[in-house]
Amino acid sequence: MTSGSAPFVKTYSAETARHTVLASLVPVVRYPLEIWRHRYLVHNFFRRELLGRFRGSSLGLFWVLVHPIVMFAVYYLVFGYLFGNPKTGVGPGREYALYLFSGVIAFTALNEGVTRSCTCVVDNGNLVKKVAFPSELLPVPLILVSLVVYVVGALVCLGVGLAYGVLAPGWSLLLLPVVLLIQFVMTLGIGLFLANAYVFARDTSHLWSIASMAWMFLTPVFWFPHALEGPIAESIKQAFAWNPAYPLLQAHRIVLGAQSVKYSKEVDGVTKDLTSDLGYLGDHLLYASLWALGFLCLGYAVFMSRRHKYADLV
Amino acid sequence: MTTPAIEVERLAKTYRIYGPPWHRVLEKMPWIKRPLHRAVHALADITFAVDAGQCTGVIGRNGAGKSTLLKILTGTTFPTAGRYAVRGHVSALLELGAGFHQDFTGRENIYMNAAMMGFSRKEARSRFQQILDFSELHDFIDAPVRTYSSGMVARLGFSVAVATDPDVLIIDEILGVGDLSFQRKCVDKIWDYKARGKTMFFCSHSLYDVRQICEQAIWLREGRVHMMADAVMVTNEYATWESHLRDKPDQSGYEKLPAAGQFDPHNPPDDDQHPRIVGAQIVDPATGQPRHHFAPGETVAIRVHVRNSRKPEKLAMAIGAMRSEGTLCFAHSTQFDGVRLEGPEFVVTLTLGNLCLLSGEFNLPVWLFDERGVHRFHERPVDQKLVVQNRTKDLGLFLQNHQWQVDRVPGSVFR
Repeated sequence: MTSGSAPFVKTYSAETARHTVLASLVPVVRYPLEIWRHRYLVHNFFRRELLGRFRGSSLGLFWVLVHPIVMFAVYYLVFGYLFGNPKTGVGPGREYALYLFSGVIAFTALNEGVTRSCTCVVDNGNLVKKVAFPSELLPVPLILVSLVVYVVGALVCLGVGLAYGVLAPGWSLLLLPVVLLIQFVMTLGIGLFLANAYVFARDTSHLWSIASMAWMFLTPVFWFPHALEGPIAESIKQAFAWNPAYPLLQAHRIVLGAQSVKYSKEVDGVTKDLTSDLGYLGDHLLYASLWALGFLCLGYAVFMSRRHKYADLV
Repeated sequence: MTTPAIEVERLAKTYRIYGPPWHRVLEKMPWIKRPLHRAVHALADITFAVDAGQCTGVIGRNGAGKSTLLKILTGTTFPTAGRYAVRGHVSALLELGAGFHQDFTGRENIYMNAAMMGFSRKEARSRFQQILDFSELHDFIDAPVRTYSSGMVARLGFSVAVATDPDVLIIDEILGVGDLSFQRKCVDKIWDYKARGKTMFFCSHSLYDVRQICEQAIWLREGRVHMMADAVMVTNEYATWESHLRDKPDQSGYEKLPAAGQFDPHNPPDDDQHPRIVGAQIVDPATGQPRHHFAPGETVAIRVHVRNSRKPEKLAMAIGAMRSEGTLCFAHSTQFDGVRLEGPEFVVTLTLGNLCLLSGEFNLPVWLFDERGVHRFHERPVDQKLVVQNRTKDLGLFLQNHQWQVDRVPGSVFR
């Protein structure tokens, strides 16, 4: 048959089609191209996702801004005035509130992106079943929305940090798009992996909500890696090297202009300085991107190797 | 010889039905010897080819595999075995408005749907007006689709779907959408595709539509090609087979009831926008008086009074006879016989000379069509049933012109 050369010929043979994970891994190099080629579709889905969320509310997109502002105000009140003492500078203060805030918005973006991607194939069941279109693009707009929400939060963070003089963003702020790209790739990888699993077992979303909660507490969102004191502190410090979210989170914080976190604590009447360094941006970027690429390859290969079954299962 | 537009070879699709979801994983384990699923063979060993420019109808009962076949050719689902090839741009009308977002306006949904069908921003912009004009939803295009009636959603869906100008059009039972004028536009569009030599693959429960539109037909039965031949032949065979299966005779033929809000030819709106059968009766041609008891050999006339729409349409009419158990004994059409029906109001008389039917009660359905005989404006039976009573003792459906002859065999040993 000479079908290969003619335009718009679609052939499929169940005998020669290969649905192994390894065979689906190679086309991952074409994935960015695929996203670019369908940018208009992605754009439309992005709009639908972003506007659809606020359609019908009177404040509309403004909610994206209201949420982080109120969240920061609460943190500031709780940690600056309830747990800390702004006069003596002992205990958590507004610096801690900012540290916490920057961690929470970054991790929430990751969590949101994955959670929404997880159910995307099933949620768009009528499209998967009735319209022949590339379902591997479905998580992309969802993750882009989570990044937009993050960027708004990051702007709030920057604004407050600059006002207090806590954050000193330098040229590294220009690397924010790089950090966002890494976060995008990592979220996409995990999202594709879970989206595939969710098609076969609807337990996946519950599993993820528990796992992500555990992950959040095991990642330095609320606490400082260098201020660990427990009996297993040393081994936990070792384990950071294997937490994909750790380099990503620290990279986010450094890019926003935080070099170190001042934190002091009263131990037996003596004020102990627990100021800790956030590490080197270069290291964090390297490790985060390696993790991200690994997740993407795994997620993409698994997703694509099972994609032919989705229409029958959703 | 041209290459076929659609080629299907030993295609099969088996669905695996699992109980609990973990059985899917458990089954893969080496120590599990017995399969944990129930296999459902939706399609089994299908082979056929469709030449470019041909229109093929797919018929069969529910669950015969029609939709599965269409979905495979569209590319949304994949076969378990076999291969297929589709040559040319494919557009599928499987479910209208499948991708619509309820909270978005018609305008936003047009762009969204265009993107899903692979249009670029530029192409979508350039086709927007054409889509909008076709849908005739100008006044509602900026209202959320949630506020649309089901007919309006279907109109919008159809308009977007046909905007692609495909080489191969795959249609699943959607010709009855919207109101009368929109239904006609759909039919016109399909006819236009046909005239321009596009390939169509068409699945319908309406045998009449298949016969009128398609050149050939495929009868699917339990996932296999039971018959593939000329459309008239396949639909006749199928109708005969199905009437044997039917428990109750169905007076209306093979049509499903249309959904609410759609145009229903059995009960069209009584206004001057729609051509309508005002009256239909059986008369004795000699006296001109109504009469409905006849004997074989007599002449019967059926008189139908038609009122055309305010803007008179060119019409076609068909009259049939259906015996009480549901067998269509005959159906004659002005379109087949080349009779023109024009004018604001007229009476059509069909004279059946030398009645061939034998004893029985016959329902006489009358159909009022557009001039191509595709779109049904009105469909209703003649007021009273035709009752035929034999004077002879002949058995069967009709009186065949016949003659007996007996010849002795000369020189036979049996005396």
